[in-house]
Amino acid sequence: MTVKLTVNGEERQVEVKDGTRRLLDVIREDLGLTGAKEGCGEGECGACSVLLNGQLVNSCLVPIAQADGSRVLTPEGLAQTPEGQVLAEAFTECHGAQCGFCTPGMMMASAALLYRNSQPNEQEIREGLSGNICRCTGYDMIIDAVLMAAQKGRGLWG
Amino acid sequence: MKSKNISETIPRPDGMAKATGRALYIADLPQGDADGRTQDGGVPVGPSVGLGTNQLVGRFYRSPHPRGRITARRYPQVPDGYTIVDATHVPGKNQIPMAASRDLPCFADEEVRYIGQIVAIVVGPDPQVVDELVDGIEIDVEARPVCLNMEESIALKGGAIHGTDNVFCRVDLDRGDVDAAFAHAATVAEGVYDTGFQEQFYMEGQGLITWRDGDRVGVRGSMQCPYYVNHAVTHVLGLPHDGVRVIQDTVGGAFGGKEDYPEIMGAPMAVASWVTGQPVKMLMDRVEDMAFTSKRHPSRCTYRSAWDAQGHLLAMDVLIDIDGGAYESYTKIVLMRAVFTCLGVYNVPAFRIRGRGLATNTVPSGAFRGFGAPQSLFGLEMHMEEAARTLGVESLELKKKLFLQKGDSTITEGTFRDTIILDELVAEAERLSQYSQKRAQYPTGGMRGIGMSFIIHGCGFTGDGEQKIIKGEVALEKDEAGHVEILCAAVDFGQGPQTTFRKVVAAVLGKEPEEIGFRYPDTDRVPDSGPTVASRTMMVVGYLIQKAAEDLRDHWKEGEFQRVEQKYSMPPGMAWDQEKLLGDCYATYGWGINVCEVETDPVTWETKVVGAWGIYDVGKAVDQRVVDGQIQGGMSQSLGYGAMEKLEIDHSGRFRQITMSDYMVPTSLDFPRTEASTVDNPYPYGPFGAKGMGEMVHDAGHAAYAAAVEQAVGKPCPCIPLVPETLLNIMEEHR
Amino acid sequence: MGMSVRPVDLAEALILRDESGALPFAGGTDLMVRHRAKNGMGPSFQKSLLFVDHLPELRRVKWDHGELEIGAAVPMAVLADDPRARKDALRREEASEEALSKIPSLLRDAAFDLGAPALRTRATPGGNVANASPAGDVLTALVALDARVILAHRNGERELPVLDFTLGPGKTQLAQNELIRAFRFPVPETRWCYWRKVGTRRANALTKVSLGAFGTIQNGTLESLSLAFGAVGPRIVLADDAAKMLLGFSEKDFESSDGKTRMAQAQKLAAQVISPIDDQRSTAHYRKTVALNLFEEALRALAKNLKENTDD
Repeated sequence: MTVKLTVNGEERQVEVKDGTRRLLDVIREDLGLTGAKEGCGEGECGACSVLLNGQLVNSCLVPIAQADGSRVLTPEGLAQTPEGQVLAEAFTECHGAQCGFCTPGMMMASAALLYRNSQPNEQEIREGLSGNICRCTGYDMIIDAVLMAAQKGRGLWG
Repeated sequence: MKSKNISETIPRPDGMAKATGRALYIADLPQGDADGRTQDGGVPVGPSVGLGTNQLVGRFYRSPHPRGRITARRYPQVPDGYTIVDATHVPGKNQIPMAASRDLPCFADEEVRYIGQIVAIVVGPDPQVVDELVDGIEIDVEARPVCLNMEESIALKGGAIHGTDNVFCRVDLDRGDVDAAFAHAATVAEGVYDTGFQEQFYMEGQGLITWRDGDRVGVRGSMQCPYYVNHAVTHVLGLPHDGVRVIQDTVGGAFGGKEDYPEIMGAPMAVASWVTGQPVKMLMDRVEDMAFTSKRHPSRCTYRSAWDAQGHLLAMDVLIDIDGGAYESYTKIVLMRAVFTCLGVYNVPAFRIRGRGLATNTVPSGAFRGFGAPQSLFGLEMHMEEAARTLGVESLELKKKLFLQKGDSTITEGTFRDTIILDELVAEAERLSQYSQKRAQYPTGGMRGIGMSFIIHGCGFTGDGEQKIIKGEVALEKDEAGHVEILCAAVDFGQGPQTTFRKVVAAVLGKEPEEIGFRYPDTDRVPDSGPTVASRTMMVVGYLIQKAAEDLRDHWKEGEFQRVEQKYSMPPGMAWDQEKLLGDCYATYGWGINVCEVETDPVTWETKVVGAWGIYDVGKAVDQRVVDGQIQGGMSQSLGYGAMEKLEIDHSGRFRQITMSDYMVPTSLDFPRTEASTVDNPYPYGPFGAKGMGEMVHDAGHAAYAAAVEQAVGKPCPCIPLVPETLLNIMEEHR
Repeated sequence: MGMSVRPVDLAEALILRDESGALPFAGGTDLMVRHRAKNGMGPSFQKSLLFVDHLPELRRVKWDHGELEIGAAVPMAVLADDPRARKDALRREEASEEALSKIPSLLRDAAFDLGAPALRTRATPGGNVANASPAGDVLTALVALDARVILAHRNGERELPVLDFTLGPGKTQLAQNELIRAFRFPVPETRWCYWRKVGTRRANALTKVSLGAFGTIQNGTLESLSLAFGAVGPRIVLADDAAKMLLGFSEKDFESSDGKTRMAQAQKLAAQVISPIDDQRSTAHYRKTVALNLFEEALRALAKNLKENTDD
């Protein structure tokens, strides 16, 4: 089947043999966008997070047929936006990234949070990121980064 | 460097590439073309070796039997382009060489000792066909009874797995007349303290690519120790050292879990590449990774302490057993660190310590941040709580009287030559956490508690290992244009050398950190500065880099290519006898305090951490945020170890929690912010005074947690993980 | 391996379901995990998939004559009071402010305790009930609420109590030609809710044991009560005999000796129907002990509620 997606603002068509193929595999293999990572393949770690029609999803749990006709924002696409840039700089400055494997997913979860709550407090950030596992940082510097991005990106998050 | 203070933090040079998804991990590498890109936003990208379109997929056939002699192997018909490779194909030695052992075979040959042991590797172009072939393999085994834990190991269930007594290794230390001390003691305290398995849980699973290039073989991917992989593959293939090239790609976390496993995984893959002549790629499935890669050694520590009528410590009698699993691998070195750390920050006048590494039919235990210290420090610190209760005194007061001081003897009769600032650390811990005030205020058993634990961690390899075994070397190269590049084998798996090494060189040369080149190691390009383990990277390798930078600065020739090299030598005054285990077991030590405050809910026996503090002497922080990030991340892992991370085995020695939904690591909601603090105490033989610190942050958070829970519930809690099920049992036992 | 189909509306979905017996698939958060294959291999389904997540008839939250109807494919985020998800639901006219305001705290809290934000945008009550895991949080809440499941087929609908619909882990009474369309339950004005999930950790956790309780209060006395325990047996356990012991309770009964005797009897009756197991997440002993502790905690909360005369 042919699947139409708007990926990072660009219209893409993908031929898939099977509509149950995971959105994660399509964006990584067919589209070459390897920012979203596979950490567990069972929706537990959040490393594969993307925004599907503006909502945070684990792309390892989405069959591609369900994404047909949808907008997909991947970590690469987020990075191209002003708010993504602010977030990436905050993660870099606050050392919110250590090994970096969870970081693209954390960026997506952070953006999803800030889009719905542009000035979250620490507890709200912890809740917003609770589906994204980080084994390096203990989360504190990730939270610092989101607070910084909320501050520096004031007005960007709508 | 703009700032004169090396501790002042800089943005991580690898941050942008990681945050924007540009950093390439082994699973992200495109087939065919990565050449020409060597550095991308601070994150190095390796060359395109091993990425050819003739790449095969590899999968292991692992033993479904826990124990027995292999009597037959049955392989399915293999279609063209597919190959099954096993022990018969090994051109060199069928064993994985490790720092102190070579008992783990590359492929199981005559016997299997645990479920999941690698028997063969199947390689071919189509993963589905490869999987079907793996499913078609069978082995027959003359089964023997399975030995699941240390009790069964000591009882020699099913006969000895290793030698005649199941003891892989012993480490014994003695000082003074312990029996006399106990005979004269007014008070004796005693306890048994247990710790469980722990999974490293790096977010990126194990993944490697191997390839053959004429008479040479290459390995690239996710690893901590490129030269360990080089040595292992060299040994298994019977190649000269320059016959193997190893390249690190971006590493998504390691924590010790990528110290031995890339050898265990990479050597059989390299044999397959050698046999087929083709690149082989293997990305370990998360379930396979959790089920079969090395875990932290479970431990049982038995502490007895003798005290006189005035409450002075007379002696300690300690037994430390650790579960090494089916093969010795790193067990001896882990045991040495467990034993050398087991008296903590205290001056103990007489002691008898007996340490054993034991064999069981479980996955071989391996390296994990702390490397034995988290186990024995748990035993010790919980025993100090027990002793304080027995003596009727406050545990902190008891501990303070025993603090080590400069000039005291180490556990191996060496000398603490550097200033020890435990009193300052205690003052800082009190200031931040109000520990003593809260401790006095909360009634025992009132469901709220606070605990404090102390940490000592020897930096670098044990004894003269740095001098005799590792012999670390680094180099700096400057090109004609004045660009300086760091050449060493240290791996950044998140802990920060990409940041800190650049800062060290930049500070010496008066440059900016981002001007300094530092690619991921490629053993064809960099000297062997040793493995990225043992809290040695900053202190040992970083110091060599500082010395090399000073050499370059002092002999700087504008417009010329220059290369300077540095080799490790022991700090002056340090001496070690490896036969007798006497002398300075470490060059110097990191010190620390963990404080944890909890509330326990008597409805569910869940415990909520309401405060966590980590206060350390790291010498000098070469970037405060890198150090604080280690403190906070280490605290989270050690609290996970103490509170949540249950990992059990079933009746055949398999792990029961092998998915991310069953093995519980902390989420952002499990623990509060860790307040991190460091007190400067520069070490003369570390870069800008820095000592090792990456492991000690995981050494005792679990002990502070358990001590806090003990106050909250008013019962001894001598075992971790202290999951609610365990706490309920404790409450019922002591009802 | 089958095909996957994405019908435009419920009518088409029911025809496809009837003709092909394809596996209904909403958010996929359980199914994709249950059918996952090894790395890079994608999931493997023996049957064709029938996607239902987008069907308008399954996404509505309706308030209708004292009853709340919740579509099978309403995202958990909507039930859990996620502001963005609610805004989307209102914008698409899938729900009204009034209907959303009627969602009892029991259901809202159970939905919030399910997974983490990314899971809640995908997971649905229909999936949670169809999965029929005794650890299903929203399933437990729906059983406590005495909800009925509305099962649609080509020629009509039938209704069943949610608990009766489930037969054991992964097993339900869903017929080959049916789809779960919605859940319905009354939401009285004076209600009392209790929800507590004991998970394997504080977020993104699976349930070791849970209790959802729902009562109605008339003139300061307990008029009805249901107690639904999660993860203490192969299905959700409704402790009806225990609940009956407590009917008619008012504030003073929690202090009186007769009331205390009845509460103790109720706890004994509850203990008789709880029969949990040991597994990799917890122990039977812990589950049973804590289930009864939760029962006590719920009674304390109920006493407080009757005393303060507050609802929800």
